[in-house]
Amino acid sequence: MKLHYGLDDLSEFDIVAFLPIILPIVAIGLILVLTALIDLYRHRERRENVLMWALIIIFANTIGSILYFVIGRKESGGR
Amino acid sequence: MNQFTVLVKKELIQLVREIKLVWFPLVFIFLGITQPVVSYYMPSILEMLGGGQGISIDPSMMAQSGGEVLASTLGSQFDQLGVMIIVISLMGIVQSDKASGMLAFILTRPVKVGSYLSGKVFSHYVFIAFSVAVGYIVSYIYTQFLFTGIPLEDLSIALLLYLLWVLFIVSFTTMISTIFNSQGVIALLSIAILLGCRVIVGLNPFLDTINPASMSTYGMELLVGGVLNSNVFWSILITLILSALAINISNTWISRKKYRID
Amino acid sequence: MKLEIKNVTKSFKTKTAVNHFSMEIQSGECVALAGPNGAGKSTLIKLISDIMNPDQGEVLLNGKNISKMKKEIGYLPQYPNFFPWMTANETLNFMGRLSDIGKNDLERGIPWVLSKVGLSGEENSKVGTFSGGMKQRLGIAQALLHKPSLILMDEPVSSLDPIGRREVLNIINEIKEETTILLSTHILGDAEEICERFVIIKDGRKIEDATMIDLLKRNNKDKLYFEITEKVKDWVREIGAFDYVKNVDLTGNRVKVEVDNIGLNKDMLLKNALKNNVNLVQFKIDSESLEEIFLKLVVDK
Repeated sequence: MKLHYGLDDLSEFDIVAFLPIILPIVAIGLILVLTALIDLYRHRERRENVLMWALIIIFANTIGSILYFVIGRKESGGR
Repeated sequence: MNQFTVLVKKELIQLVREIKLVWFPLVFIFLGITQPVVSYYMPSILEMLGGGQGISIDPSMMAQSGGEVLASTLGSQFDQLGVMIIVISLMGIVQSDKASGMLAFILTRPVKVGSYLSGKVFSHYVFIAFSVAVGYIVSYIYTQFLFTGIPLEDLSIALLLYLLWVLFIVSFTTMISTIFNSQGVIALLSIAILLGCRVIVGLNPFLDTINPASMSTYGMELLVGGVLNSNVFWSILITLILSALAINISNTWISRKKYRID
Repeated sequence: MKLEIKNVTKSFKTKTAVNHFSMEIQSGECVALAGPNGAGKSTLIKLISDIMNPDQGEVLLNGKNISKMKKEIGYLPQYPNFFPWMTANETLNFMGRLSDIGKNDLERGIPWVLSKVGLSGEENSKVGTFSGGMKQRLGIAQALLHKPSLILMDEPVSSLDPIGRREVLNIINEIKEETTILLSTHILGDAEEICERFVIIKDGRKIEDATMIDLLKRNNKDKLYFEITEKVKDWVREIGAFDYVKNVDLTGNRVKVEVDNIGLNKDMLLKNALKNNVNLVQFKIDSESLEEIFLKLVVDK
């Protein structure tokens, strides 16, 4: 019985048919992550927990950047 | 009317400045793509990983129709994560103006409360409806590519029905944001009530008729089976009335100056 | 222009913030609404600017309810909080358009009002980057923009540092020539510089309404103030025995003497001091400062 499934198994997919479908998802995820990071960088002085958000965006990429946009874009300390 | 345009313009500029114009539609496109792609590849992934161990794959999963897939985009993506994202992005719609004192400030000008609220609801609704529609269309493009096509008429009517549900979401969240002062309370309350509405659909035919969340299931039924529920007209009417009522309550609340002023 | 506040009352859950308050303001006046913190100043300003509705009474501008006269009012909140993502120009445009000012008027009005408050050159900076003083000045700009006949300012300088305070006071001094101003403050020194008329409010009630000169005159007692280097207690006791001296008050090196008639008696007292070789550092007529009068009014009553 085979216990481990490695990357080799994935090659059974038809990569050529797979790419055009998966590429837009990757692209959108990437745009979201990049926009989030750029926005975080531009407002780094006025945001709370910049480092925490950077890590969330990078490691939880798409979900992380959505999370950042929805609840992370709060200005800190503004009267 | 002049003030209304000024306020709508302000909201639109704010959407651009806060780059919501970029990320919000993208999120819905992402949600829209997820469902068809996952539905398409899940059987092959399961088969491949589980093939040796004899996990049986239900062949009907392979044979999903385009309508079914698009219906689950509405039902499992938009109605869950989608609604939460809409609500959380709207929780400050009036609350942040109350907290910063801008609401009181704006109202020292010859501005009607109605113009203020309708400006808010109109601009945000149009934008959210646009984002949802874009996500829906992208989801459809994937669906008809990976599965089957859907008649254009069903496709557009289902979208319109869904957008009515979105209208209720926006007006309801605006009302909660007007009445309550803490963002957490606003988000929790709105999400709990709206998702609650969505969950109870199907329990009781009468409740379904007066439940704005039924708009979503009517849309789904249309996509799956090609038939429109016979109660749909009453539901549309009631959804519109409830949305107007929510805006009206907000209007009265602000006009009577019940909102907290520190 | 005439502002009438008629018997206005506003209560909150736990306290009555404004209690049967009445006053009138005529065109061209500059009125300071003074009182300790929590006296109801802010509430009163909010009632006048139609942010809150009174429980009782009414506020009339030119005989009409204030809600219908919003174009005639310019309001400056205590902490003007604009949208941080707007530029100064956009903020003024937004507020101006809300007041129904036409596009062309705004194109001319905004540079004018910005130069008036000393913000020329900052029109394209984001409001979020502004200091407190700059925001306050932008607040004044937006209150002036639609050329209202009455400007209401809620603690315009209280939260500013000395430099910002100076700037804002100078601007107010300049604009009071052209409009009617009602401002609230808990620091009398600021109001003293700009306003002639003082309305003092305590626990929601009006306890004084007078011009500055009146207030000073009314509280001017026949008092002399000495400062001496060494305690010449004997001499102090000696003057206490004079029949024209009513009261002597010695604290440290400072002596306060109340006399019958200051015009006649001050020379006599000075001569007496010189004759007795009292080492004088200061000798002056002691008039109470506005601050002292204010404190007395607010604390005693």
